[in-house]
Amino acid sequence: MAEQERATPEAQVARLYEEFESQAARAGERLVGTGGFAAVLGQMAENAAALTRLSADAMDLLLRNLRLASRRDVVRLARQLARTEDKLERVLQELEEVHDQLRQADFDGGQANTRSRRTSTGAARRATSGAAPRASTDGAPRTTTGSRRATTGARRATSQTRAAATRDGADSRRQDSPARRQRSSR
Amino acid sequence: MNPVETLVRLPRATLEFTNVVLTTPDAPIAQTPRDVVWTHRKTTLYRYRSSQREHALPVLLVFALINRPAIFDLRPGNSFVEFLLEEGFDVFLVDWGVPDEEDADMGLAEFVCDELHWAVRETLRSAGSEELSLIGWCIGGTLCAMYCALHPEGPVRNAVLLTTPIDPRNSLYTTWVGGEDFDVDLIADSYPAIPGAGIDFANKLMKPVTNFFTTYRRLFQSLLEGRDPRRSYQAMAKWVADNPPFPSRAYREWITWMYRENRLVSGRLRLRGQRVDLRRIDQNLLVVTAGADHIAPPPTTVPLLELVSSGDVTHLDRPGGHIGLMAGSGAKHEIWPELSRWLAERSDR
Repeated sequence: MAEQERATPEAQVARLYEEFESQAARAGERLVGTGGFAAVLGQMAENAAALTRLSADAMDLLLRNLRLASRRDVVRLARQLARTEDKLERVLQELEEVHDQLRQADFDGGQANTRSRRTSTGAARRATSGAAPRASTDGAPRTTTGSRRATTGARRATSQTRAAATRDGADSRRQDSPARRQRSSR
Repeated sequence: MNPVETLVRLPRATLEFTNVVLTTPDAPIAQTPRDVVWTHRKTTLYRYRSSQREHALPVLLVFALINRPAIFDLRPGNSFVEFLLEEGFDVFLVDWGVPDEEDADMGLAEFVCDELHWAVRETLRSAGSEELSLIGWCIGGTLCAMYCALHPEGPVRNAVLLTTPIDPRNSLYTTWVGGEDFDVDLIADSYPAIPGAGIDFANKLMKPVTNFFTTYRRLFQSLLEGRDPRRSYQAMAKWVADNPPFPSRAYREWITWMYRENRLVSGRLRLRGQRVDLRRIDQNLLVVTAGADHIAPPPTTVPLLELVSSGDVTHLDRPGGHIGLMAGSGAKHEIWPELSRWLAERSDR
């Protein structure tokens, strides 16, 4: 109370204003939380959507009649590209899995060889010193991961090259297609 | 400040205010150096550069579909990504990109079963790890929860869900879009990609006076009092204004399944024929709610705690808003260290 009495007129005005603003904020939040507001908002959204759809359709029609590519045509093309990318991604993943399996098989084979060598050496060592064998494969997973990572980039690059090669192949196939041969013979 | 002083400062403050507002689009955000690890359609997986990785498990950050993930790396000195890197984590971020009309066929299943699943896969391959920690925020958290429920035996060891809507029954959004007054099919049919500006407008309408007026009034007042909130204001304002479109199929499914039929909590949500049963979540789980969150208020998240079967569940309820909790000026000293501690304790081999 004493503080309020000591406060300058400007501070009192500022405090009153802030109070008013926070009350307005609370009132605003109550208002937007009502069912009536939700109905108005819903109708506004519907109107905006309907208008957008009408104008987009009209513009598309106009461009098509002018024999120009419209937004719809561009979207259709982009969708086809996206589908192709989906397929490519799946193929890449399959390739990576096969590659990983091959690597793992190579690694397992190599490890089996090393193990058999180690066992014979260890047996000889145990025979002489009597020490227990160490069960350490600490560096092994990191080595596989490292090599896996190193090959991933390479594989990506290979797949890109392969995609390019496929494209080139498709072109060359197109060049050698029967229809083309027929045309050239004519 | 006396009235004469205020009058003298007024023209300069007005000029500065105009300058701050007009140059907001030029503010530098998301500046931490990173590399592209993987891309698919509009989705990009980034890995942040670091020379001090200490923890074995990489962290994958997943943000919502309605704003850009730059909020994780808002500005130098106030970036969650920067903080995690300093704490020794290997940080990855999945960015959904800016969908357009050609992405109208992207539904929740595509985001969870393809994009997120593949991003997890690529994160593991890149990091050379067999497990990871997922941090999802807002809708990103819901997508992460769906993913964890679909892959309980999968590579996710720790899941952190930040202000995540799970059971939005009594939320304001449900009042707006959950009833018959809102024709979600008409909207989704009319817009192949729901304009981000429309969604942003609706989000701001939830607190109309605060968002449309108080923010600017506070900025002006700060400038009038001689403070310079330019960096913090611009970074946040730029991020808030950057709203990518919402693919119409995902939008239709999100509104119908979450706000109309509340399928996630009732266990009736199916993605590609697989039931998303939250009871199957058995990863270490940290759920963070914000007391003043108006988008995903705590009551919309808390039911998850009772549903999951995880043996290690932590719930942090902290003061703050939906975004302010994690991106506000106090986050660096309050919530981030808590998250880091929780993750660090569970991130070693």
